[in-house]
Amino acid sequence: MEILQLLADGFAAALQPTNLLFAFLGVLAGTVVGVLPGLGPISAVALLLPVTFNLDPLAAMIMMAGVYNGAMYGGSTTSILLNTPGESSSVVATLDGYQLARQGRAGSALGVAAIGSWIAATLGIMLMMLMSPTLARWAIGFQPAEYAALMILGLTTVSGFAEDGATMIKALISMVLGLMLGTVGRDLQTGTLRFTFGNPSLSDGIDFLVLSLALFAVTEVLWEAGETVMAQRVALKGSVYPTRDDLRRAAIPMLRGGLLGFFLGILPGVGASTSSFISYGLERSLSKNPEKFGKGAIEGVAGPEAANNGAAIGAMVPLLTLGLPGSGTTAVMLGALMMFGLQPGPLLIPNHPELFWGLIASLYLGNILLLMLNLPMVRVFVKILDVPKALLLPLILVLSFIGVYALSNNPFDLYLLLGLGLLGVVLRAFGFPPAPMVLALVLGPMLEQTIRQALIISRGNPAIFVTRPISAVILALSVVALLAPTVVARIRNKRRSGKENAHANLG
Amino acid sequence: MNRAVSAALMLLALLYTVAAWRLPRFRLSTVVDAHVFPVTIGIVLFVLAVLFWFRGQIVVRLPERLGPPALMTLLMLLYALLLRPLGFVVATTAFIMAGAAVLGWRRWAAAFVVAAGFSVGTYYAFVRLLAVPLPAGILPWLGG
Repeated sequence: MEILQLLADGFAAALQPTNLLFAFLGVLAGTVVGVLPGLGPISAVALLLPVTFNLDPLAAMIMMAGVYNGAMYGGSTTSILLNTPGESSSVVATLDGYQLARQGRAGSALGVAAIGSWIAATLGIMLMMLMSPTLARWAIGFQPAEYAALMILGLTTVSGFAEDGATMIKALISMVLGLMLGTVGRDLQTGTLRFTFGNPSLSDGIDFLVLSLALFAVTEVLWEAGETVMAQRVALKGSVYPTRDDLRRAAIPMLRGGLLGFFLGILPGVGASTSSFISYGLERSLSKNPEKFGKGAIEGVAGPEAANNGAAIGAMVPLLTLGLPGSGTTAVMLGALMMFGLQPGPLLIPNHPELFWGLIASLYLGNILLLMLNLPMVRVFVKILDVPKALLLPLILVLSFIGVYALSNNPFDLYLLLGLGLLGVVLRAFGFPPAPMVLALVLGPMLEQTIRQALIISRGNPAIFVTRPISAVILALSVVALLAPTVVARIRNKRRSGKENAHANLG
Repeated sequence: MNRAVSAALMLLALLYTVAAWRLPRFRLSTVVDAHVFPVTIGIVLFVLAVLFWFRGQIVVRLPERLGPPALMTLLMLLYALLLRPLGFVVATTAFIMAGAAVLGWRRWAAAFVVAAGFSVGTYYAFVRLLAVPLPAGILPWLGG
């Protein structure tokens, strides 16, 4: 049992006092930021990244993963008690969670969300542990053409999973704008300076951390500064432990949601929010009384909350095995990995087994800590929602400034942060999603390099992308991801008009 | 409104593509040159902008008040300008208090305690515990 030995080594590493401390700090800080309305996992990871600048890679990854998981747990608390989700992956939790809270069953909803998150995360970590080494071994044969195709798939699916055609165009535009920001700076292959406007501060390009803090912290704060209505939170009364009946009804949806979320999360571009929506739809269609959904069905909290945590773990599989992020949050984590001098890709696990297994072990431990933080101690975190906005918003800005300043010690990056934050406000006013832009900024330069490497191998023949079977299949999937939403909408419209005709004939 | 956004995006795509096209070239190079990828995505953006002209939907949504966000932007600009000369602790304390005031906070003593406590706390946490340097500015006795 090689795995057990490796896992034991991982636990030995994760249980070292400093690593344990950073795991605890990570889940704690992640939960705190996650509870704050408007701030989700991507803001949490970006805001807390500076803390890890001088840690060793394992401690840093342990802390980042803890922050990521903590923010997922914290986000559900906000959606259930406040009806204003911190981030898109918690939108679904407001549907039934907030209804339950208004019926005085907030404790039950919070408890089910926490337990469901824990079950999903534990399942996910187990699957990740079993699958990742095999997947990485398989991916060692991948050449630049396959990587380029995978990145294109990630970029198209993240845009394609928007609901209707119009939103998909917006997501694609946001994605291409991110690719464009990624071309700023010195071209690595030719040394040509591109789009720097003669500014030496831009020659290293726009850092992923600057953009993610701009779009997910500064924009959010500026926007929130203009909102006058404070969301009133529902008081948390009674026990925070779900009743036995609630648990019995929630058990299967939790398992189902966790598995569904994990496997959807592995797919590039399908993030926590999509999987929680799909899980909600699934639970409603499987339910014996679907009419209760939206009015306070515990299954409607259990499934999606498990699904988004499962997806959060699943999204780490391509990150660690292929070096490819599938979501905004994992894009930030990839940037962090590279900052620590690690080469992401299929060799990461074979070359740094202690990192992978230490991370796995600390994820198990972190999720147990999270269950403790979010069940018995949830009342403490709820208090965060009572911190006055006037004090909270400037503090978030200060943390963003620290992150950017600590990164480069260059005041220019602070102006860049402000400028991109204002760009984020404009994008938000017009309804362009910011996550594809962050993903594209991280993937763009990698995509360009791999395309060029592939073309060098093929001596400039672009057919290499379609003659290599794996690359061809992945590219075909990208086309499907782009066209599917439009086609599905067409078919739906046709059916609807068909039904209307039938009704007309009857009338 | 979608047409205005589309036109703006088309203009951006054009400017970007032209700028990319005019990047310096390596005539005898076997590698794909630096302009190829940018020109391609510039064209992709142009195509998307044209599609947006016909199919895009824009519903402009704004925060209820624009005054506080504008003032916060101004404060951030000042904060960025003064962070180095004044140092992290002084600039941050002032920034938090001013920011809270812009957002309607009027209990100055409480604001000062929070602002100063947070600035000093994070300063020491980053500089001492995490070895991430922050500017000391006019209070060099803070140490680094």
